[in-house]
Amino acid sequence: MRRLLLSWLGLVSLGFGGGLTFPETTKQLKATLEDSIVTTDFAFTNKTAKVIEIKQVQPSCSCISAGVEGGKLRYAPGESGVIRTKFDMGASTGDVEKQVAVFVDDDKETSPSATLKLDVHIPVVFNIEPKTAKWDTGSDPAPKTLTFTVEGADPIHVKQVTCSNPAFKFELKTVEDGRRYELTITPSDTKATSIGAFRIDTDCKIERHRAQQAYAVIRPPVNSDSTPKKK
Amino acid sequence: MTIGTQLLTIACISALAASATFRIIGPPERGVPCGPELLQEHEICLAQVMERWQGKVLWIDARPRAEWQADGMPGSILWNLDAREDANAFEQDAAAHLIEGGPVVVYCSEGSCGVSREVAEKVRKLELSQDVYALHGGVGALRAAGMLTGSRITP
Repeated sequence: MRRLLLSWLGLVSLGFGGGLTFPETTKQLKATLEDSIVTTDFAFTNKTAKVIEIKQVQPSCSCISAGVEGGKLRYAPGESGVIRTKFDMGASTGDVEKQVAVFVDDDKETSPSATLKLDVHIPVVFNIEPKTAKWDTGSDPAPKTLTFTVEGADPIHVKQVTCSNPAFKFELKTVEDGRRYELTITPSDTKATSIGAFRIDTDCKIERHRAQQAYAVIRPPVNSDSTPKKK
Repeated sequence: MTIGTQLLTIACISALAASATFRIIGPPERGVPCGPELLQEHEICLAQVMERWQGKVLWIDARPRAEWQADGMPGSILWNLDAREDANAFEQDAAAHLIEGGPVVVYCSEGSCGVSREVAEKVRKLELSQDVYALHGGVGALRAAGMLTGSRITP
């Protein structure tokens, strides 16, 4: 009986006993404006006394592809390898955190042996403040101004501004060519709920940043406490 | 004692322990654990969404389009960060839905996918809603609550 119990406990401890050792599980990365994909490698070593098999490398979102370099999945004691991750930045901006879970041998579905993190800083090209000009219905249709600021080192020029709704008149003013612009918007009236989307076309050399958007909205006054009462 | 008897003894002890745990603690928790200690900034538990707004929020699905089409929340809109999608169209659609304000809850594939928090930040920048959150646990929480019934929304 004792022998069987000891064998059982031994097997259990092997199942939970360590995994691959990653010298770095978090990488701080800085993307450039031109980047659309950020690639980074996570090196690992099998420092256990048994062969480890990588069962799954699971990114936290579809924006990341990840896999073991060379497709090798079984690692003998002392052997090393690399997990390569490719983060497709898509429409991400600012500071983003992505994760890749590494499952080996008998890891449970919810408990990977290792979680690799990518902290990526993606530069903001263009800042619009505020993003939306707002009026309450029935209020004074006074002009409101949105400010566009180019955040990167290279100048970006606003080529054209168009609005989806003719009820909003607008005027573009260049404060500093290639660096700062102001868009002043005036609704024809504020009688009814309405929205206008402004498309701001620029000469930004990165296509995905070339067109920016801002909004004008006329809507009923929003209660400062928008939380509905509990039942 | 034979090997078979020993195995049977271990199985019986395990079964008794499991039965006692079930009676004392109750059935296993199938939902996604959520509480203040687990929430990151601007995250919310599904239970809070149901309690505060009875689920009447603008649901934004931050998953890939195919997954949203397969089983997105009824009435949800799509806004993901896929490079192949039109980010400006997503933003414009959300702005149109938020013209009268109201709470917004963004969910993505998994609790740690991070996309929901990024999209929530983009929604917040529109300044059209005072309550914009990422759902803790993502679709896992919705699925565990039986809320992903399989909407077929025309994009």
